[in-house]
Amino acid sequence: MTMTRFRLALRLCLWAVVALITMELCARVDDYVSHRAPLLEPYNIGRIYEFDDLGARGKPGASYLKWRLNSLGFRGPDLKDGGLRVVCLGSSETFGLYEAEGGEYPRRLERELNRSLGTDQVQVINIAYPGMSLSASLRRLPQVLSTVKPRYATIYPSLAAYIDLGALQPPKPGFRPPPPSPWEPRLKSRIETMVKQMLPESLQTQIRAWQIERAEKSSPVIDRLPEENVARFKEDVLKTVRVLQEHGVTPILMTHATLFGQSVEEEERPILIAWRKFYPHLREEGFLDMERRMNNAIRQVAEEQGVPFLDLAQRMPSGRTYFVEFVHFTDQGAATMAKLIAEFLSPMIRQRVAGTSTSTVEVHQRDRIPEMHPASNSRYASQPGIPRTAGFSH
Amino acid sequence: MLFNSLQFAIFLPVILLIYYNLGHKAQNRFLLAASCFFYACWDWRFLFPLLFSTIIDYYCAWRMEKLILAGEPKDRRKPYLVLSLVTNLGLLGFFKYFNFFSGSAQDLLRGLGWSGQLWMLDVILPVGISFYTFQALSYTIDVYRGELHATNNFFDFLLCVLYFPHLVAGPIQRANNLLAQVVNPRLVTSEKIVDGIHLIVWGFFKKVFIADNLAPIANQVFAQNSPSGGETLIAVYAFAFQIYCDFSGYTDIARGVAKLMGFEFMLNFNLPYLSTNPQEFWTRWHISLSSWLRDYLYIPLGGNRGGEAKTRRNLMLTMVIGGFWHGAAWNFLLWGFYQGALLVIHRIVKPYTDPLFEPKNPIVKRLLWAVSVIVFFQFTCYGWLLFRATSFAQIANMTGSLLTPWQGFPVDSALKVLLYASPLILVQLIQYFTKKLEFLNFEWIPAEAKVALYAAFAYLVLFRGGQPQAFIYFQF
Repeated sequence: MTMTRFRLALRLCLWAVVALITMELCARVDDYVSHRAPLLEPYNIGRIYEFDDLGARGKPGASYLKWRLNSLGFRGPDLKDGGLRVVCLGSSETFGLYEAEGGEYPRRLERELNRSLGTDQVQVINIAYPGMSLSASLRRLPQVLSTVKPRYATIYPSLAAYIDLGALQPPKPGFRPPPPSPWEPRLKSRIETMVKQMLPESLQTQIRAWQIERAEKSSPVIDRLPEENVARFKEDVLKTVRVLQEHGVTPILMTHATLFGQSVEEEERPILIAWRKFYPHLREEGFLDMERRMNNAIRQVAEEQGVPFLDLAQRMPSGRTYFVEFVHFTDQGAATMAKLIAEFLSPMIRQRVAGTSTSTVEVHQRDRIPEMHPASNSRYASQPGIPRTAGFSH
Repeated sequence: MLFNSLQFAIFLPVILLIYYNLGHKAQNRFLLAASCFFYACWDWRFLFPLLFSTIIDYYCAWRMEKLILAGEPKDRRKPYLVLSLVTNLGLLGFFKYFNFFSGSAQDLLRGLGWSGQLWMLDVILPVGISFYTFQALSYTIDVYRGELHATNNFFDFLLCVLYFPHLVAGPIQRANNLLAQVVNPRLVTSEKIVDGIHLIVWGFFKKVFIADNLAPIANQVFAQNSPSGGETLIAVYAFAFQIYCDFSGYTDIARGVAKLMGFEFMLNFNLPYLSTNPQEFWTRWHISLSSWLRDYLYIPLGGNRGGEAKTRRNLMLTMVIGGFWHGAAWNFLLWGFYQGALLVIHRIVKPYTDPLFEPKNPIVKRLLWAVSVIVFFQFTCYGWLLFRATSFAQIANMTGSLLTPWQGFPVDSALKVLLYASPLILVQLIQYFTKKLEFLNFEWIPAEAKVALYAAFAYLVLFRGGQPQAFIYFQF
């Protein structure tokens, strides 16, 4: 009897192993069919990064799920020769996480700008990566600017990256993270996502609150972000502006918008708890305070340096229509972002192009838009104060 | 509580765990409570019409049984049968058809120049009412006919009606089949458990992987005002596989769940898309309804006993009522009429076509079979267009688009339909040629290979299913 039960248990174990192996195999074949992912190599977000002494950067030509990097390692298509280039600095909000492919705000911004200027020669280059702080972007910025040669740069930094100043330290020379194991189960993340989707939000919030409570035990909790962190952020914003200006790039500073807007509604509190899970040693109220103070820092830098400034924290609508969670955009949110930035940037581009063609100032190669569609050219030229071939002539 | 929901994924194991540890009588009481909970999860008020009709049916059957035992003539039983019919059909008519008739009458009167407002009900249709009223009717009619003994135990009868796996979308169980299983102790064997799991996995695969992935393709086209011919064709094919996988998937899960508790439900689908003619189709599609209509409507109407003209009339009437059973809308009536017309035409041409389909050469015979299946599938699909459309204008537009030269062809959608339908087609061909519906239960397949196959199905269900959609037949 005992032997039979033992055999049965053994058999059930064997079946469980067979089922798990089959499902893991299915996950790998699924990744291959859907994304041309390798069957026997690790497959995670790490695929899009490579590392040097400056830290992480985009791996040229890499892809992971819907995210594809171009030959320079930036999200989006390859750069075309000529035209006017705008770079978008930022973090995961700018890189785009939840939007449909091509729906992240830099791609939409390119379409909006070209539409409003009646051309197809404006290129918007998304130089942001998930998890990248302004401090990390700054280290590589001169290199990027020399390669891309933009005329404008929008700066939409992730503020939460400054909660932990220790994480802003540059990597030690020669440091490379260990490569992930090719045998890391791909089924795991799928199961996690599925369970998360199935669990009611209230239960998810309970679990998060419990995780935060556990994390609170290991480090002291603060109500308010120290002044030192805000000062460091302001310093990095200022440095970024200066580096851009030194390279002849016009910076456009933008404040950071969140799902909450100016205050947290009661039904939005679970989202705030979800945000806090990533930084458990700052209390929930500290997040909105951090946003206010850091956005003020951006405003101050813009005012002190006379930098074009777009107050997205004020102008971006809040709520779930525009944000999937605390800071990342829905398709509609990304579209609104792109529209707001395009409305701000288009007149500046128009003015610059008009100014350069009517004066003897050298027209930069990167400012020239060599080909115009006849229809769009005439529409553009018909605007008051702009000569027919303003700035776009060879 | 939908079968494809987290609640059900928790509900079922809990129910089974308790069920297996109870004696027969306690099992019945427990299943009754669980079924009430399952039904009340939609809306607890739905329980009232169900309880009301069940009490009436139980009383009528009990009275008729007494009259039978007393040797009274059949006529004495009639009032009780009428009471049961009026109660069940009255409830069905009130909840399901009142607004349809009221709305149609209002449209007619407006056409005649009347500008008043007829009374419309503001009630929700109780889930599964079409199914449980037909099931309860089969009980009282069988008792009336003397084909079934009425039960003395109200709770046993209530469990027959309320038993959760079949409550909301069938299969419509005959009282003579289910009551015996409720009254007598049930045996749960390892074979039944394996069969049950097989049915559940295959049912979920059909529902979540095939039907839910095909739904957006069909929905997108049926939401358009004037789709092209190619789009209409692909949408109709998509819907044909969607509705089959949706409904038969539900039935398989229901049968599988019932098996895990030792119950046996009747087969509801038997490879219907491999039918070569409408008569065969209706012995393979929604068998529990078609056989109910045959036994309780077509035969009482006279069946094929009164000459060819009456047979055709009975066929047509049965199918139109069957169509109307699906929903209170004109397109369901039209669909029923279309199915009736197909059956009548088939009866007319059958004597001339049958000899053509009996060639001596087996290869030619097989080829003719394949051609017949493909041709008849087109007729079935056109029926689905009538079924799925939301208005006569849409039916006219889509039919017109099919008959006029097409502007382009949606290759991507066509490939998607083929991709999602291909596992079903492959499995059904295996089932057809091996004459074995439990296609995974071949002895020569090692157990480990079966486990791997189940795991692959489970993967596709869990991670590659479409956006969850409610079961189509829940609305009926």
